[in-house]
Amino acid sequence: MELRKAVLVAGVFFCSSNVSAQAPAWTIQPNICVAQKVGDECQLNFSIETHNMPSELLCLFLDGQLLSCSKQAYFFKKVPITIKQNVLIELKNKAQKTILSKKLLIKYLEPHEHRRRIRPPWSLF
Amino acid sequence: MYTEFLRLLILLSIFVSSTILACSGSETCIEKSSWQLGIALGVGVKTNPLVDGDDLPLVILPDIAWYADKAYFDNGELGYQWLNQPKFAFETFLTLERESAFFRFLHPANILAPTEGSSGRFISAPSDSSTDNYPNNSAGEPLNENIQGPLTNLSIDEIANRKWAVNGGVRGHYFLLDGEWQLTFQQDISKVHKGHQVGLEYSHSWQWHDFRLGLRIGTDWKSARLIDYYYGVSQRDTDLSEFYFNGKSGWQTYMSINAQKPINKDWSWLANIGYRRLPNSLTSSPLIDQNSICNVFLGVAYRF
Repeated sequence: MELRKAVLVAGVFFCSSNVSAQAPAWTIQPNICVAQKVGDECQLNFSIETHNMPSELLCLFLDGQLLSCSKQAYFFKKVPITIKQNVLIELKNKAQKTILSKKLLIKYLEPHEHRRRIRPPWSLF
Repeated sequence: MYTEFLRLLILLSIFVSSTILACSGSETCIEKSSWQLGIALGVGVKTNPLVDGDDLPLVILPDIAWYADKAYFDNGELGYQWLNQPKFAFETFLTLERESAFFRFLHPANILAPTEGSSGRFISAPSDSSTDNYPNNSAGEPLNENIQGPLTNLSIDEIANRKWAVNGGVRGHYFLLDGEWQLTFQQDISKVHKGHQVGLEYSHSWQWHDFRLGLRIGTDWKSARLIDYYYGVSQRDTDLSEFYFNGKSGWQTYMSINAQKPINKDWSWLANIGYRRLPNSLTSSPLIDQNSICNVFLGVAYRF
């Protein structure tokens, strides 16, 4: 009986400590924006799903610009952004410590255009 | 009448078409708004036709190009391409006159192994200080008094400096399947010599698997002002009137062959060989002792 209690207490302790040690995580969907060609703007509406967030006010930054803040990072609505290049999205606390970060990528339907070189490479005359 | 109209229509459609020749990303193509940097290491030489002119050792060959949508910089040429169509292209550009490179190329002694390719001097250094009766060179130093051999050639070490000139130019291209015609006009806009030149060139390339062979053949007509500024001899160079020479206009024909074979993604074998024939109007100058310019290079090239 004593052994059972000890195992139960130990189990509860380890489980609770395991939960408290879990790192914050998030899922951003979608995280790739598709534009027509290089230089075009790209609009992205992404949703954020968070796990194991600290119970404090957390703010979302896009390349250093504040987007919005929420307690425990509950962002229910989709976040609309417009980008022209790859951007970094960060989740920071009040002390400006970065809790999470992720790069949002931009891809193009039309690959980079090439053009003919006017002078032949490695030429001496 | 109908066929003439059809031809005109086809010609117009070529001009107004916005389609630009697709590039395969090979050596002759470049991604827009990007740099193409490369360096080739090897052994080679470019001969200097001037009396006492050092041959240019070719140990390192840089390749530097940047192309935007219209503007470009390509190995020293800064330009703007007004028209870039599948069959035709046209650009204006600024570039340094290459003629002066023979007179004072920067000895890259710290990087490159110097090659002594000069011919024997026809005028040797003075053996004593009694030089009062002799003319001075551009540096104010007395010319030699011990003349060896005929007074036909004059060392570039004894003459006035030839300045760099900046040329403004226009160039038209006509593209074939594997070949290209180029017509170029260049004018000295820096007012160094106020001369001009016209060039016509045909280039052709062959590709066998990943081996690429290129041939260029062309001719440049250079005006009397240009030739005379660089290769003419007058009082500015020496008081010895026996050397005086007026440069005249002339044609320079040339041919070069370029071969390249990739070793891997970044490295490739590179070989260049070229020959340029100088006209009599230039080789008669006492500054010249060779009637051609040759270059050869064999090495490996690295693309960054």
